[in-house]
Amino acid sequence: MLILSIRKYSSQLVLLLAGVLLIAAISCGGSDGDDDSAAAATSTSAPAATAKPEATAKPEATLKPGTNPISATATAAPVATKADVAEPELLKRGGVLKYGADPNNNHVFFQQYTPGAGAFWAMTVGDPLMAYGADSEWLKEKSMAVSFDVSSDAQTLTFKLREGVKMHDGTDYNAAVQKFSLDWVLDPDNTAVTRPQIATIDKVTVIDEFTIELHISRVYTPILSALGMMGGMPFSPTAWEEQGADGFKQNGAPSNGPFRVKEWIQGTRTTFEAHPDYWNEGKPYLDGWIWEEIGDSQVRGAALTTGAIDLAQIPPSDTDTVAALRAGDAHPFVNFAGVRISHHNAARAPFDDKRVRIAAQMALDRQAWNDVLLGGEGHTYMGSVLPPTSGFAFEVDEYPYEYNPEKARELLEEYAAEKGLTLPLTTMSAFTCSAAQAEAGCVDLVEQPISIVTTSSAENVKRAEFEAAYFNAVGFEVTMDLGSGNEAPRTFVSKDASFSLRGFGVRPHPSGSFDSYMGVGGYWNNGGWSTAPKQLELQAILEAAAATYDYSEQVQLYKDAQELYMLEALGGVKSANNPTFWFSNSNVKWEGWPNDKAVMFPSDSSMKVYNMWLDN
Amino acid sequence: MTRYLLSRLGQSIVVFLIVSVVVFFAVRTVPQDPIYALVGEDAEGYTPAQIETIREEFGLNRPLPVQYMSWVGDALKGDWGLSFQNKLPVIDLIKKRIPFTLTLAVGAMAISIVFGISTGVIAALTRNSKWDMMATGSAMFAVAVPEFWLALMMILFFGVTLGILPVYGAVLIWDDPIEGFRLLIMPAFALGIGGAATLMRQSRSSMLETMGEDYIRTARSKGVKEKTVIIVHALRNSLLPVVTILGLRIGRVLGGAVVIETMFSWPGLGQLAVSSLQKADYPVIMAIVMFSSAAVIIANFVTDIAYSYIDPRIRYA
Repeated sequence: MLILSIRKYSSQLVLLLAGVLLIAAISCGGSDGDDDSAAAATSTSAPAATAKPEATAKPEATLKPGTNPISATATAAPVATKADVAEPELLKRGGVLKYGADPNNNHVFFQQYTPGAGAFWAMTVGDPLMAYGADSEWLKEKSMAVSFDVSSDAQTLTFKLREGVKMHDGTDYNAAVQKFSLDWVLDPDNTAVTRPQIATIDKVTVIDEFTIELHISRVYTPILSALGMMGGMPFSPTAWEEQGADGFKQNGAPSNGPFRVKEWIQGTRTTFEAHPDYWNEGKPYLDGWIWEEIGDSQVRGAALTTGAIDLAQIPPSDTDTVAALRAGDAHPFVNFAGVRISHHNAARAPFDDKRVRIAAQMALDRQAWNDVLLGGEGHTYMGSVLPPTSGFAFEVDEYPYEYNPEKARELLEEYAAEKGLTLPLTTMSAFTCSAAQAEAGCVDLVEQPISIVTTSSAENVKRAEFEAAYFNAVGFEVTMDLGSGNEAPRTFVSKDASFSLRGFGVRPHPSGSFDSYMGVGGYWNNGGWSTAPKQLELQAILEAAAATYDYSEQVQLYKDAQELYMLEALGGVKSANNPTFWFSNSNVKWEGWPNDKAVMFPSDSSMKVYNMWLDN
Repeated sequence: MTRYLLSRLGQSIVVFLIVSVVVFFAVRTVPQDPIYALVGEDAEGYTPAQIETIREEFGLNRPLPVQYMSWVGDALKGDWGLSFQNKLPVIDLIKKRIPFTLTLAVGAMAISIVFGISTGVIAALTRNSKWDMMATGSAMFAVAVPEFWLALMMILFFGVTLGILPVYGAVLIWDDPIEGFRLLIMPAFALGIGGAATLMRQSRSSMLETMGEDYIRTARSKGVKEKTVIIVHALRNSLLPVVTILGLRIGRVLGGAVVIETMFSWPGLGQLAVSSLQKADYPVIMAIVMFSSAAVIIANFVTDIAYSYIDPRIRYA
């Protein structure tokens, strides 16, 4: 029957078979190289090698390498020198590195990106006024400032700028360019996303061609490191006149970094090419690099395995891909730049009672949290509210409020008995603002269910469900409020969240995170309405830390603040520091290889692509 | 016929309007504020006044009905607004994506038609044979298997294990025919195989039904060649329900294959829809949904017309 049928329809079958064979032939035809396909699909022609101009006088920073600028106030005349990094023996030049990441680039104007979203590529495009390395040390190889001075009232900062720097559009970098960029960012009408980073600057003055003076509205020493973020990166005023912000969003803002935007195709890729006149002679080693937007992390893993890309970003929640790549030849880069914490609403009962906050601490099994949600790759240490990379981390040998559900329940029972309640605790009390608070925008609230608030992302929902189960097990009754957490100001100012799951990445300087966690406008304080004595004490420490240029004193003050927060105030349940993963294939090398810390900016988890090269 | 067409056109316009109203208000119920998507969820350093300024700039401070009417008015004039995220004209963003979506749609439809109809017809002609059972079983599997899983398996097998196909990316066929085709194979197959299974099942049952008709028996008894009986008499008449399914499939694949485009980093409308939803970029979302709706409505409209041509009784009913 089958033979008869085949005979009858032989011509159609032959056509069908021919089609299948054609597909197979075409599939195999171009498969002589693992990365051919994607390369053809994604690569761009590398720019031809450009002769570097003779080294011009390059001023040297007046501080020794590794010296923290916060403690440095002395200045000296700039000295002409080249970059102080010796060229590695096995260095190879040329090639285009491909980095697979989430579709993230909605445009390519770095002044309109938050640090987490745009830092990776922005740090390859611009060299900011100041730049910082792994231990909050001044990274001169990325800084436009070669020295700086601080006035006696600590509110005027004078920077000597690097000379001989060319912008991507061929114009010269100088104090006027830096001022133009800073003024643009600071102008509220421009609604620059980076403005908050440097908002304490109230005046920028050009002293001479390579000297600029910044006046800050209050003594706020973290401004130095804030200038190491995108807000401190210059862009060409000439290009601005021609293109404006909308043009920059499509073409990239010509800046002064080792790479410049060559092409942006939304949802597909952003191509960067080496800046031919980059001031740091010899850098970058690559002809260019490509930000390939690959939406699925498993596909990114597969692309890395096949060699279609050289670097892949893998979220910690994709534990399978992380495990598979770890088991293979890929080189892992791990940075613990994120903090996961569930803030309490300390302004309202029952969380205004320390016993209840301790119970919440003891309710959560952090090891299980780490194992289930991060595949065991997170850090569950409890001492610090900051990642361990910055030198500001506070550690305790033994955390007094580790997982102990029995004790947690005892505390809640004690609290409930005292208040005439029965477990589970289901509601938060009503809140009445004082007259002063009301004048400042505080709104009275009625009694509300105890809720856990977070965004609607799958990762956060899973996390919320996990934590709610543990809180409920000891005597809370937590309702889920998913999707509301995107609007932090609304959630916290209106104080209607009981537990709010937050994730934080840190900045070059941790002050921003400290303020968010613990300051009067911070999260646990729910808009600043808490009257807890510890809140005021914390605020005083934070203000003192932000007002000193003495680095060691500042570190100690921030550690004191963390200790107070984690052991006494207990503003939230920290679960773990989550890792950020990159994997590279064996083709990727860098200065200091194979030490991955040597090529990362741990503060924002971006990479020094200008120090990387491809082996083949 | 003209009356029939006008009637269908009128229905299509009503459906289009209803979709626009529903989608306009529905996207605004998503718990994501476009302003905070732009300035960061903590809006650190922004004053409420600045937030309101941005909201005003986007026209989001006006009552929803006013916003809707304004959007409709602009859309009718061909102005689909600017993306909240990058201030680029939405129409330009869509235009750049359409060629990729069309390419994928054509590829997926080709696979659906070639595999679906041919295996359906063969299965019908070899009814109850092991080939029939294999084809039917495969169709069941293809209908049941999720697209994302199939895509992943293909990536792992053809991309990683065999290394013969690229695992992501897209090039337009007319820019680089060979590479464009290689990049198209997996996403088109993953998107089209579900449709192929549906078409196979429909073709098979329709063909079986047609082959049992009196006129087929008459044709055979008149000594017409079997090949002619099948191709000229049976196949054409059995295609009527298949055309209906094809019309629905065309609308679906043109509407943006969200999952497949995301998996393969295919820069089409589906991928743009996902990123726009994540950022609550209302103008882009609206434009994509309206384009998708238009694709479905037009596909159905064309299907109806084709239907009336294939079966003239429908025209006069």
